[in-house]
Amino acid sequence: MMESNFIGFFGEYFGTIISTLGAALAVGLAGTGSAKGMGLAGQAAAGLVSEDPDKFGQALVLQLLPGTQGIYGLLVAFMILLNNGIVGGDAISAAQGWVYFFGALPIAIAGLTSAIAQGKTAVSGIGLLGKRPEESGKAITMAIMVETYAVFALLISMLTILLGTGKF
Amino acid sequence: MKKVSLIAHKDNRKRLLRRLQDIGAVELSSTKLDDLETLETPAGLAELEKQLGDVREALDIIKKYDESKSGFLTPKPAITIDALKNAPSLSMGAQKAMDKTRKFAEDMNALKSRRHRLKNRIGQLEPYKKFDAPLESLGESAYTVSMLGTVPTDNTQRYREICEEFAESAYFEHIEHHKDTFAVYVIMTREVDEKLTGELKYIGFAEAYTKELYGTPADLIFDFNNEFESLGTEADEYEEKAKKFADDKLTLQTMEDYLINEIARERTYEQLGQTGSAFMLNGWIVADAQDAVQKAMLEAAPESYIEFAEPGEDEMPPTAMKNNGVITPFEGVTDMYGVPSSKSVDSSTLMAIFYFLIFGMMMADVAYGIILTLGALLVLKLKKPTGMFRKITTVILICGISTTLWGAFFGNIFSIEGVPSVVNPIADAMTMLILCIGIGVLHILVGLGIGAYAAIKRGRVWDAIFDKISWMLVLIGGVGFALGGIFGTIGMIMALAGVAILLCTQGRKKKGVVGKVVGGVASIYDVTGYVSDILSYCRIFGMGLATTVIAMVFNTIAGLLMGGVVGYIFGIVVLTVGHVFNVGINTLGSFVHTARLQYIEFFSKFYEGGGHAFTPLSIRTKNHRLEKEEVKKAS
Repeated sequence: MMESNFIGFFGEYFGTIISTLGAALAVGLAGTGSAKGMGLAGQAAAGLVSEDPDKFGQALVLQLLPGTQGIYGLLVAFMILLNNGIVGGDAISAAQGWVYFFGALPIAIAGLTSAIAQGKTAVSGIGLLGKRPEESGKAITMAIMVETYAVFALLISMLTILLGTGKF
Repeated sequence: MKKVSLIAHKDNRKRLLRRLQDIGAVELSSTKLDDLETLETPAGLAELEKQLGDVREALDIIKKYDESKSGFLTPKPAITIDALKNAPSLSMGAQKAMDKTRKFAEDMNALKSRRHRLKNRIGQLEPYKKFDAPLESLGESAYTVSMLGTVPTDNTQRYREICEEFAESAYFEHIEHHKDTFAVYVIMTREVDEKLTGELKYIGFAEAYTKELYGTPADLIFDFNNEFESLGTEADEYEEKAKKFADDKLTLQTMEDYLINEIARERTYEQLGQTGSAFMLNGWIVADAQDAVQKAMLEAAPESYIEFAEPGEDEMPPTAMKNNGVITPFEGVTDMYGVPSSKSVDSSTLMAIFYFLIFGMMMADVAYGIILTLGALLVLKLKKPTGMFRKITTVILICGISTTLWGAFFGNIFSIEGVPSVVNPIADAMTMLILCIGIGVLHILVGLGIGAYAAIKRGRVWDAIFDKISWMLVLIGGVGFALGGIFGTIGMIMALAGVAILLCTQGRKKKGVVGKVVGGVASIYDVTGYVSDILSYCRIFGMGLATTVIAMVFNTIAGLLMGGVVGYIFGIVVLTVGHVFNVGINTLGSFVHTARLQYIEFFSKFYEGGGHAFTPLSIRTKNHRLEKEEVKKAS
């Protein structure tokens, strides 16, 4: 009895559950990456500001850059939760759930790795800012290069979710 | 850019340089002629630099205690050129202020080092706190020697052995444990002094320094602590008084700006050439300024020889871009990448148009656009920024308009649902992607076009055709091919023509037939570069989605909260904070991502760097906004 109930329950809500796992991964992994990246950059920024408080503004911009991956993860998770019956919508089919799950993966994976890599670039950029403050634009550009892949991941995640809704 | 050369009598040198600094239109370049010695640095320069150092030192101290409020929006104080030149009249006050701050710094240091010493002494006496005889009783007397000291706890066993060994001729008192040592009092007969002290030292006994200390350790510690505290209060009072130093801040800042300009002018002496009685000056001017410069020069040095000339082929003049008021701020974006070579084409206008378009697409919200424009306007009005800050703020002001327009196109107002739109990016993602890629292709084509134009302008027509127009054919042909139908056929022919040109020409600089063929074929692989450049424009969609969806997140959360008075209050708080956050993070994102598309995808097609910005000898201020005399008279 127990077993059949359990399977029945699982079957009925499987789509919602698996897609929620996807949302959790998107926020969790991309957020981890951003926290790590911003942490690295923040340490370097604090070091620089201790020497030269006037550079706080520019250092803050560089620290902020690895923070966007976490936001992208949040966006993807939110779009999923809005459609899978948790925040909005109704319980979804298993296939639809898998689509959401796989839709969440690009930003979860690329968010995690790119934010850390971007954080490291930002650390070097803050070093550059300390030595040659007039070149801070270049430091920001270098960090933005890394962000490209998080933006692409976000794009594919969002397209998968937006275009994949209601087809399964 | 034009070159200017001037030869005049030495007597006019000072006046001429002052005049040139006032008009701020000539960048001096070094005058190197083999039989002409350059002027040695004037002796006054070292004195000026020392003064500047003193002023800055005083300003550093003032800044530390300055409590006058100066927010982000507080503008720098205004100053006229005349007032700046009159700065020497302030030197009495400035000197007084500097003396005051220097004395303060010295006194503070003395106080600090006294406190530090006291702290050390307290630390040294701490182990003997329980020793209840006055310290002056220690030392040598007629028959005995007594001392205080510490022994490491590790050597307790050996210490006991020594105690036993000398039990007859010495008395040992164990005072107290302190960290990993214990304090002892030893009194011994003079006969064993040397031997016992030696053995004690061997096990790590450290004698306490008690000379010139009177009273019991506990009393001394108490007194020292009191003195330490009172010095602390004194330091606090001192620092409280130091806050008043800020009254002199403006005087010193004016002094600093004055000295900076004096030094800048004196430094130019190094670039002049001289003979016994005449000197020679070389420099760059903007071509339009020729008459004004000549007039100013003749006024300052009536008997001088002046010559203007076009820059030579092998010379590299500084770069000065000339654009109208709307485009000029966008030069800031180019300058962040690097100052272009003065011989390249000024692409500012085209760059600005695409910057405007792409930034707006990334933010794309009617309300956000209005917020950006009004916010930037407010900053410009209140802060009155100068330089790069002013340029960037103006760029945001202009791009706010684009944001509003694209917002209307995409139907975004705070991402509220149900606003009518021309294209709905979320429902119609494919159209949106095509739009982004379309803008990308256009952007790259324009970049290639500028490259071709620049090459043709220099008479290298074939280079333009082989390197730029060939790729333009491939790109346009590719687009046509994608459209299909009649365009498809034409497109295919164009693309093939482009490829044919590339195959035949891209190896032209290589040696040997094999090199040429390989070069041509290899160039076709650059297609991957172009494809990735074009796909890079997908980020416009990505950033646009980010703006929209973050706003949706906050709208939804606020929507869930709304209900009951408390709910509405929280809802409004979430909406306000959320949208402010969204505007902030996405303005930064849009700004840098748009800049990146310019730098990497656009500039790579034509940009020639390696220039240096035109920096004429002029009056510059660090702490003030320069106000033009005319403006003052008019108001």
